Amino acid sequence: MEKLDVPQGTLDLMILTILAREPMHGYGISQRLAVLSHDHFHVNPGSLFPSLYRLEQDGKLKAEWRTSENNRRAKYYRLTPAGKRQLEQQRERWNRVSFAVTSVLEGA
Amino acid sequence: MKLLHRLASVVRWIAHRNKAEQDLDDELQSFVDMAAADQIRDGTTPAEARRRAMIQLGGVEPTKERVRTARHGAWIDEFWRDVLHGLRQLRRAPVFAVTVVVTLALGIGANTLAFSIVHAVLVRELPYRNPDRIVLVWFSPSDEPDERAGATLQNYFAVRDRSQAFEFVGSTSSIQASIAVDPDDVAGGEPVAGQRVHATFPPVFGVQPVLGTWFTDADDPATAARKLVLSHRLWQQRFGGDPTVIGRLVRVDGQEATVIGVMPEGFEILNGETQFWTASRWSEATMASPSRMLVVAARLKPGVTMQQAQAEMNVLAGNLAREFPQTNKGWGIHLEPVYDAYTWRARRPLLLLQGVVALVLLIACANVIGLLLARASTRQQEFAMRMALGSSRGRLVRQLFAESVLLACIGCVCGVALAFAGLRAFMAQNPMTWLPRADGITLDAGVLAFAVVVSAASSILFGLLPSWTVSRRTPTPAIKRTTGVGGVPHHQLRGALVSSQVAVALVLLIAAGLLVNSIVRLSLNRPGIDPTNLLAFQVRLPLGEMVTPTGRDAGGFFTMKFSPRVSQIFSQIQERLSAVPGVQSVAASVVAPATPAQFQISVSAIGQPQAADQGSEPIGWFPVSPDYFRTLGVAVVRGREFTKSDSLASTQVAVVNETLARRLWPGEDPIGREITIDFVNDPPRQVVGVVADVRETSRQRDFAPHVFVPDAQLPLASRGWFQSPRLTMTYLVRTSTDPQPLVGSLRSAVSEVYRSQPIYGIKMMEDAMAEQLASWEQYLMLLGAFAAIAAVLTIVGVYGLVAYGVGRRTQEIGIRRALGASTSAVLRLVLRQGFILISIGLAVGVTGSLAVTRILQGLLWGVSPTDPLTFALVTVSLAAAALLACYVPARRALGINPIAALRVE
Repeated sequence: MEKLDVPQGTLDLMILTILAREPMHGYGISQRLAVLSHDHFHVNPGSLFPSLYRLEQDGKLKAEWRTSENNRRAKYYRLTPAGKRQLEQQRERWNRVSFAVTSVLEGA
Repeated sequence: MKLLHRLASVVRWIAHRNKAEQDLDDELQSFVDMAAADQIRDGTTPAEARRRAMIQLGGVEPTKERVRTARHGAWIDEFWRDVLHGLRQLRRAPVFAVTVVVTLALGIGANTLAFSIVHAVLVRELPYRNPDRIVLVWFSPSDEPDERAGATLQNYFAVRDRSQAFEFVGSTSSIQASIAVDPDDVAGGEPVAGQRVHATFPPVFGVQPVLGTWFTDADDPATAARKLVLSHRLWQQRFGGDPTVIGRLVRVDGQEATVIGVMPEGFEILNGETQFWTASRWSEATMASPSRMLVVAARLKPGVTMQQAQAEMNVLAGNLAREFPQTNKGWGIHLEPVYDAYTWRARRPLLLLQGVVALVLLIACANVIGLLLARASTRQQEFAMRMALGSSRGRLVRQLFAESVLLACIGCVCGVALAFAGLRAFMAQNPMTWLPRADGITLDAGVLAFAVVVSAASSILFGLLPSWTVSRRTPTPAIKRTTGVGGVPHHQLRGALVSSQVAVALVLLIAAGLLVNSIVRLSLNRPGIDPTNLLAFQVRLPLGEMVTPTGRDAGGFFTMKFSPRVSQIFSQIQERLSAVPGVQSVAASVVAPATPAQFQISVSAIGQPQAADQGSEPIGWFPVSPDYFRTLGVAVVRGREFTKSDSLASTQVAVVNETLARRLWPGEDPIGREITIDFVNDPPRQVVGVVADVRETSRQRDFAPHVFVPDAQLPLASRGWFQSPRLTMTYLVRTSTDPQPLVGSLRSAVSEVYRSQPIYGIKMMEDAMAEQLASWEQYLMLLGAFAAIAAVLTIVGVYGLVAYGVGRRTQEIGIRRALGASTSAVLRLVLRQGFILISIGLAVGVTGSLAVTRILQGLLWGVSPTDPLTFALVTVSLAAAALLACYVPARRALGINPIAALRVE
């Protein structure tokens, strides 16, 4: 199946959403993204990691090294309170955007 | 808050960069591990799983690079890494680094040095309140509007009292006086330069004394007590910076005066030598004096423009010509901003200097561009590799640019150090004589800012071009090491660099050649006296004791009578000096030799028909003692020189030089002829001798007519302000060996004759004459040095560019040789290209020089600005040097073993 490009500006929202459920490492996030998007999105680590680092730098995420379920050391990211606020804001905005776009497409 | 947080994280990131890098490494590693583990779980072999995981990651380095650039503050980090990388690169190529830094340091240093002079002399604001409102009011003959003559007292009062354009008007005149710190010391020692000022003068400049006060209106009339304002320097040197100096009684030329003020450091009015100011005195009696000795300065009223003031002055000049036709007919008034008065002499030489160093910097930048291009091409592989590893093109350009900035910074620091050293050498040579306000030349904040701006501008100039050419390359051919293809634009750029460097250097070198030519001609220009073992010093008799005022004549001039003791004392001193052991002969003169004639007086031959314009031409007038010509080593061509028997009582005699003899009596014998000299009360004189011509200064080219009279025969009854120099005698002592050790005995010989008359202005004639040229030579040497730097840079640059070109063609040359090309064919191949480029450069340079050397006129001596010999010599020399710079790499190309060259691939 042909992969889709992640729409501009939505990667952060998806990362925050995934991390809102539980802390996760980079590989896990990319896997979860693929599963949740029904394999439509395959995010390149070259895009994923820069986003993670920037979110961390902005204080939305907090990272720490932990041992994974498979006994591997991995860097886990979790949402900070600021990250939660950001997620709510972005989700709210996305809902409005998608509602608006859908309305236009269906109403035309 | 958000910003603060972000800032903190940037700082944290930079501070813990190593840890963060390690973190990123680990994280990507764990990503690969987990991806691989998943693959293995799905049944893939471990090796294959790892390979697939790497593919999924998309390359470790590119991912890391993207993470790095995504960070906030990434550019700081990036720039820092570029600088570190650049430093490593430079360390790896020390010859390249040193060449670039030295080249830049020369360019930047030369510019900084020149600007420190320009800044102090031309840019720095004059130390007055609103100096742009101050003008000088010159009087000039209508047919010579550029001449700057002073005002008569009447003129001054007319400008002061009748003009509407000025807020304040004041005047000043120069004097020399001995200042005795101790009121009991009547002689007072060596006279120093001062200015007489009218009471309204200080407000024109708006500068307050640091101690005490200026003069006020109460000091104006002649009856006011004498008051003195000291310069900061005189206060420090003679009064030891005494803070209680105000009110102190001193003697000015033997007359009592009270110190009332001390001016701030660096304060001066048109003359940096000025050490003191006294109040000008005037009275109704002096009002009609026709002498133009006052320099008038005025402050424009707010809102009044220069043009309005000038228009008013034009009307005033017309009125004055009607009211005082004797002194003002045919004279106009010319206003000049005080800034122009200060800088007009220095402006052209200094701007020329700055222009020259700007060209030197351009050449330096061209050199650096060439070097960077050559280097960039050797680094093609590195860039290709980096691009393949994920660097963007912009990233590479930024990196190259950071390296350029790094070079410019190092060059700037070295350049400023060079400028500092150069400035010390320059200031050690006393530039005060030709530059106004030269004491303010320093490397201050303004000058350093200029150095930084120049460095930044040049780094943009030489940094952008190579980065741009690099960024246009595609990685694939470069990574495949395809040399010898040489992009066409690259090639053209190199050619343009060679040609333009040669052109600019040629212009500079021709200018330098013309200046050197002038120096050589000047040094061959013997003044006509023998200065070896010739000592000069001055003795001054007090005006008050030697001159009796006798009133005023019909023309308004002061009249006076000189005491007969003046010439007695002077000749006694001469006799006493002659008796000092080691002295060969002694002479005295009111006008020091080898200086411009101080007095220009018209002379006519009695009974000789002469052209209408003759007789009015001023002729140098020199009152001298017996033995004058013998002492100076000037040949007496005919007749005799003066002896002790030439006195007021004997026949009045004169000696003329050959030029004057030829002019007055062409083809005839002047001995026994009579002349009249237009000097006060001077009787007709009989010519008793003709002497060889002597130049007035070392820079004078043609001989001027001179007339000599015995100082003992000067009329005692005289008039006019210019009489007081008669009381200052310059003694010339010729010794058999170095006269320096004799100064002590000469000093005591003088003091035995007339009280304790001090001697001053002691100098060796040899030094004095060299000094006349020193300032001018200093300037020419400065220009010449910069031109020489430009030439060396150009040769290095041409060599570098050609050698680089040959290096790129190594393979081609190898193939040609392998296919049987002869030595001369290969040589021709390499030289032809260089020859064409150099010829273009020379042609442009010669054309440019013909156009611009005109601005050297006035600086050159005995050489025309388009002197064909200089043009030819310089062009041929530069062509030869440039061709040599091509020949060396070409020759090296011949030494290339064809097999080795082919194996380079």
